[in-house]
Amino acid sequence: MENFYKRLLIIGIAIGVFCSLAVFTVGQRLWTTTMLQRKLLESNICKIICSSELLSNSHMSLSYARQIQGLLPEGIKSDLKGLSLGDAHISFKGEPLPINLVLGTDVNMAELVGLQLINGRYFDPEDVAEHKKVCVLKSNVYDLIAARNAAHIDINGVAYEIVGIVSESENYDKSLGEGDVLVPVSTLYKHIENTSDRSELISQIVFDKQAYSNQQIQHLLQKNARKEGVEISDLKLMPLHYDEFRRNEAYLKEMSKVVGIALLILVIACFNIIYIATASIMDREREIGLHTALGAKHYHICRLIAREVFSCAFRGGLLGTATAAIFNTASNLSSGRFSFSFNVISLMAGLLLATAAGLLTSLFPAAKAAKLDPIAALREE
Amino acid sequence: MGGLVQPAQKQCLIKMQGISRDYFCGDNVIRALADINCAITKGEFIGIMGPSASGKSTLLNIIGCLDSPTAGQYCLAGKDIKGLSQMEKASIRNNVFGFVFQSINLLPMLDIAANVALPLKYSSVPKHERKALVSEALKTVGLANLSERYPDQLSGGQQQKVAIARALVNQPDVILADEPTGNLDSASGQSVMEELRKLRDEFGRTVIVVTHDPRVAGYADRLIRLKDGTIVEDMPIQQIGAMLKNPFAGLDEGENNGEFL
Repeated sequence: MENFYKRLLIIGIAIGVFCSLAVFTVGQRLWTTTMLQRKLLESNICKIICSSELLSNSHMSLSYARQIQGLLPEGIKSDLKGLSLGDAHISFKGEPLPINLVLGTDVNMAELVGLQLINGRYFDPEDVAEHKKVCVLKSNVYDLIAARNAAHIDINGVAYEIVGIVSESENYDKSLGEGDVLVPVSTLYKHIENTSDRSELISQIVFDKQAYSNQQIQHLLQKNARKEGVEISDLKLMPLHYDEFRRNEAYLKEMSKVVGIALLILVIACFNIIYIATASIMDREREIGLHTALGAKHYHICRLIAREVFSCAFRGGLLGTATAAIFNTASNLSSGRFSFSFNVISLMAGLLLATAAGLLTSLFPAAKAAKLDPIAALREE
Repeated sequence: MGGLVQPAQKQCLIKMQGISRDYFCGDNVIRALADINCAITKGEFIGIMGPSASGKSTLLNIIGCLDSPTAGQYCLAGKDIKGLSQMEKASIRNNVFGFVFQSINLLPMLDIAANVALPLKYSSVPKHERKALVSEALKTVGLANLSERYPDQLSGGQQQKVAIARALVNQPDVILADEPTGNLDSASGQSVMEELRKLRDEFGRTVIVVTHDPRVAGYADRLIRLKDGTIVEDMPIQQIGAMLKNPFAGLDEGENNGEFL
């Protein structure tokens, strides 16, 4: 095969492999995200937010939130999420820590949102009732000060005892946001914000609906609210991970487009491979005619063509896999983290794909070459 | 130019009876060969002559199992070729015939040894045996020292000798040469024809050469003349005239270096 065709074939196959790996990688992410979506939808953990528009949250006061908690069916475990109003100054022994958000919760939050307790404890009812100056740190924050046996951190210049360390589990609720320091919600009101229970710091009421459906919960809430005379018309009930679900949906749409484009390029690349392989054969009719005249049987010609395409496919596979690895690494770098994206599995997958594509697409031109009339092929031009 | 093998005493290798070959072009039928009858015995050096489009190459292609006759019977070593599968015909082309073409047809990406070894690949000769056979074939044509060169590093005459080596590497019974000197100058042409003659004289091969040059035909023992697809003359060379017996005699050096045809 002429070098020109070989190069074209190698490039064609490399593009095909690159696109296939892109489809594979993005497809894998799509699959993971889709599974996560299902998981999010199947979760029993819900939240109640106060909102006139679905995603434009306004906050509730602590007393109002506690009233709503009281309207929930008996036996339902719930908690509150309160946010500090402004930036808190968080430091350890006078050295500022790179966080400035404080979250306030009751005693059930860790269990509801799946925070894993690594050390110590989460808040107990006494902490909440007595507005204790205690805090729970996320492990990434604690790692910054662990070497110095930290037992306290300072929030706005006041010492808070570290009672527990938590880490984000697989099911960690991203809706807790960026807050890395947790305090009892009563403490947030009394000591950090120094405000009354009527201040609107509560962003959501989190609860485990257990065997109840959303409609049943809504119905019971409305019924109890009427009984107690509580206004709940601005409240919305939704899955805890609703925001994440919406984000994932947008991501899925974008990724589907990428997969669609990659598949399209893949199909074009396949046709290109067939076309180039066929054109290369038509260009060397004379050579194939010679082989036939010298006694080559059909399978000799097929083997000759298949071996050449296979060799190009192998090299194209290597090139495509390498390009995909470089592209992925560059894409990781652009998102701020260096992670060399190359492994044996993707190499094997790329090579397997390329050689399979090479063999499959060489079938047609090889069969065509084997049927060439040697007399016509050898005829003097 | 006397033969060491006496053809008359040899068995009949090729026998053609009533062979014709038609080409169909739409509604038109073009008759390339019509009612060809001839027998060729082992060890003969046959020249097939005729003007352009007289059917010379078609006849050679049918003899070499590259083409099939439309009608008639072609027996090779007593066996009717009709009805043989493509695989069987490929085996015959590989084992019984050696082809030499006007346009030489060496593969430029392979070296000389690999070019000569091609027919061995198709007859499943083990790799370790191929080298010796290739060396022997190249030695026969006097090019043993050029085995590692590539075709474009050789002269036209040397390339055609390589093609002859390729044709005889499988030790075929018959060498079929279609205008083997057509693209060569006279000196190279003479050298190539002497090689072909040597194959017949020293190794007893049957050589069939298609040409329209009387000087090339002069190397043959027997001449078959074709015109419009039919044999118009088939006789021993001795009966054709002194000019054909020694075709290169009388050419001075300048002419020898010029165009052969």
